[in-house]
Amino acid sequence: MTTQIFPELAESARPAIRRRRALSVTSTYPSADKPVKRRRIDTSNHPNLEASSLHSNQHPLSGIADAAEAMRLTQAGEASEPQGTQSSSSSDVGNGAAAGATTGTYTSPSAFIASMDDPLVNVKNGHVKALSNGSTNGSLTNGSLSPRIETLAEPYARHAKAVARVFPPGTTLYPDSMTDREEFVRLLLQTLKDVGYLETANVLEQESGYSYETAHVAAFRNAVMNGKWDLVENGLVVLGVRDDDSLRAARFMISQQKYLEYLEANKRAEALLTLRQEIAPLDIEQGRLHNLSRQVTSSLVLGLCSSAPSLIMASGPEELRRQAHWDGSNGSSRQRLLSHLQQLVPSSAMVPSRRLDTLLQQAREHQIQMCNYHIGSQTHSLYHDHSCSRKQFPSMNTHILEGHRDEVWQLQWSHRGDKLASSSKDSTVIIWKIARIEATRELDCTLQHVLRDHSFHINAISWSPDDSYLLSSAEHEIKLWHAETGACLKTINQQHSQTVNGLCWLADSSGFVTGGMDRRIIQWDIKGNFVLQWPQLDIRILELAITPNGRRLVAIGQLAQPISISNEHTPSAHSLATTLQASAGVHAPTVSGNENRTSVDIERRIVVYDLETRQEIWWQSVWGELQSVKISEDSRFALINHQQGDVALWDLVEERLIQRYVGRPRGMCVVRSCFGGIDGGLILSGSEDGHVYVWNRRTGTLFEMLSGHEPGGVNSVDWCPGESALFASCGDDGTIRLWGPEPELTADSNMVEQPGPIVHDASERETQNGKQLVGGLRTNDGYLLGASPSRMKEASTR
Amino acid sequence: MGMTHLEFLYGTRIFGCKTCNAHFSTTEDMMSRAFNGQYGRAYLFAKVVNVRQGEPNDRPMTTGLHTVRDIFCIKCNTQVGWKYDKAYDEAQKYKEGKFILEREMIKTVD
Ligand SMILES: [Zn+2]
Repeated sequence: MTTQIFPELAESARPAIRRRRALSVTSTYPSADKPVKRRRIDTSNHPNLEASSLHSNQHPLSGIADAAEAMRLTQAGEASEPQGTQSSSSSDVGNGAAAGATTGTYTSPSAFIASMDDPLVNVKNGHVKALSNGSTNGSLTNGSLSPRIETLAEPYARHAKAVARVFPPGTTLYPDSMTDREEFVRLLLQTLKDVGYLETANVLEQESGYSYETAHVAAFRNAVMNGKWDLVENGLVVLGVRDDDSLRAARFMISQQKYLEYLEANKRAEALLTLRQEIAPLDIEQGRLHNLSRQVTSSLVLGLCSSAPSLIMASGPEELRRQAHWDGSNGSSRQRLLSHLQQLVPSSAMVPSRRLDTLLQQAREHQIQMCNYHIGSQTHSLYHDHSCSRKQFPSMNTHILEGHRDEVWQLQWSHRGDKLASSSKDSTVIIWKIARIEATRELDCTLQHVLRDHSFHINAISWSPDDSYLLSSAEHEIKLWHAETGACLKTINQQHSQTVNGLCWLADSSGFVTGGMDRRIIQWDIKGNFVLQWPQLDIRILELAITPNGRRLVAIGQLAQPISISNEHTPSAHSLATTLQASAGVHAPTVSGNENRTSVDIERRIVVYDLETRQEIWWQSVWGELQSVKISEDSRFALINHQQGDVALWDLVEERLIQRYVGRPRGMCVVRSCFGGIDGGLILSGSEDGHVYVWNRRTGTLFEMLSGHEPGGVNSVDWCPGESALFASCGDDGTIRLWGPEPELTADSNMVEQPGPIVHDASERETQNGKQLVGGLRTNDGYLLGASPSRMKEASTR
Repeated sequence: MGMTHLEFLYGTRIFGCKTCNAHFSTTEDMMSRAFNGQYGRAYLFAKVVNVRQGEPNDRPMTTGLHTVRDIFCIKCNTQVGWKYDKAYDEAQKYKEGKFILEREMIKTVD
């Protein structure tokens, strides 16, 4: 990109201007009146630049701008270079390329000329030589973005002239760079062509000497896009596809397309012939095809096979397209075929579509994964690495909800995020209403109901998927509540003989599942009627979770009886378990006699069941107490708290440990964790040291330890669904705390009283305010409602 | 303090709270069946879990003076027996640190 290209100026070129202007309207993005910024090379500063060769490329007539502008451009010893590519033959133009055009877009006669990228780099490193290779390929790439560009008139195309080829040293972009220059330039070419900067692409091809792709590729592409099936297979061979399996797969895909197109065109005889002679023989080898490549033989491609014969009965093209899930020869089907076939071709011969953009997207995703405070709403720029500010992270305690009379053990947001249920050692469950004030987007928290019919402290709570109902369990007793009225709809206290720690709803809201320390899993209908009981398990259930897709039930539990070695059902699974435990930092206890077993020695397990068949799919043995389990939104991962302090992320599909989140101290009690952030990229956990721990899910980096609940532990945390910066925590201090970003400081914020309590003195302030406000703020239940003082409201209790 | 799970035991036979099924002890930890409690027959165990201990006090027993504490089920708070802190008779020293569960207050649990 060294040779700077400027227009040659000539009055006679005027007619071309109009053509150019027409072109700019239909093609590129710059608006008609927006001058494009230009760059120049001052050859005097760059001795390496062979000015003579530049000038030798001068072109008599291709200039466009008016004379005055020309003077400006050519003054000061600049290389006055003919803009535009060398006339890269009008056959290229036939592909839709505006070959032989000037660089950039002429938007008005006096406009500046768009120019190439930073010349300094190349000039510094390289030599400029006269262009020797004029072969370019102006074919459009895979991108569907490419605007249609009218063919330039012949005379104009001929005016274009060769651009000097540049030979930078080495093969990489920079001496110390890892990026191969040819690869980079070819990706750039692809992108430029996709976007419609065809002339620039042509110039780049000449200047670099690299072509985006060979004529063979273009021929192959054209064959597919124009339905010249006979040429397609041969085209693949030419492009380097040689092995039998690949060719068989290709033939299969081509034949299917062919078959469907015949049917679409109502050429039944030809279709039938294709089916019998081409598809049917291949069909026999389907098993083999399937093994070849899952990517290539996509489910669509194979799925069609079995239904292919029946398609011949389709009453018309519409019906055919619907039945075959195929959008016709004029739709995207050929493009899709092309991209399937392309996967067989070496990527160096045929660059995968949108490759540069794909790479940039990967960079973006990587940056997001590395961004600890990611809240998802930022725009991304290529100019700098993405990074969210801590200012938008919910690191500040904004609201304190007081209503429980003892330690708060668990809390859970409703799925809509407008309610919060909390459960306590005081044997009550409280439903809080968390409304949003439209104008200010602030939260308005009110105590809605105190559910007080349990006679033991509460072990678990669970919102129904539609937020209509709430389940709670206290020891062996389960209650079903109507969330809006707070009425108890059902009490279940006969079927479980021990503590019920697992409560979860079926994904379709048709009922729920309970699991207890009595090794029973029982299914209930929506009204709390008994449906069925699973065969008694090996484990006492510490918690249950159902994947959001409704397919699997994940249980954590402790083995009811030790399993003797001879009884071990899968020795391989056990050895795997041992390996993983070591990596999970969960150590097996030293082997001791049978005497004096304590709960510490008891084996714990993570067990995954198929919810429909109730069969065990997989289990994993771990040592040391397990505390809680949460499932990721995509149903794939389970987040499990270990009493040793670790939080572990397990992949339920690959059946392995993915990440450990460490730093939390070892504890004695049940402490729960959750996924957080707008895309689940954070891991949060309570801790007995009174802090809320926050890790980057991908990297495992512990980056926040939020304080507020001390003294005493934080028992549970839950991120508000749909919110980028809101979560709740609860603790031994009897409070529930909401966390949000620090308020933005406005110009006069120092003058105005802050709306919410400040994190460090929140506790004290709340207590003081609470005392002052006791008279006015007692609810009918006699519970003191604590919320941010400025937003306290009379609670509606019934 | 936070929520804790009751302790669950491994054992051929598990003795638990008659009222609420909480595990207390196992046959493996049973030392003697030949005791009498407030409500009749009682068992001596080397180890008992899920119980809360009351204040110590001296009680004259059929085998002499002992310092004992009543023990209560931590789940349902029922008094289920006592623990020997101290035996003043040398022959009874083996009971120190051991527990009595009244048969009337316990049952075999799962
Ligand atoms: Zn009890």
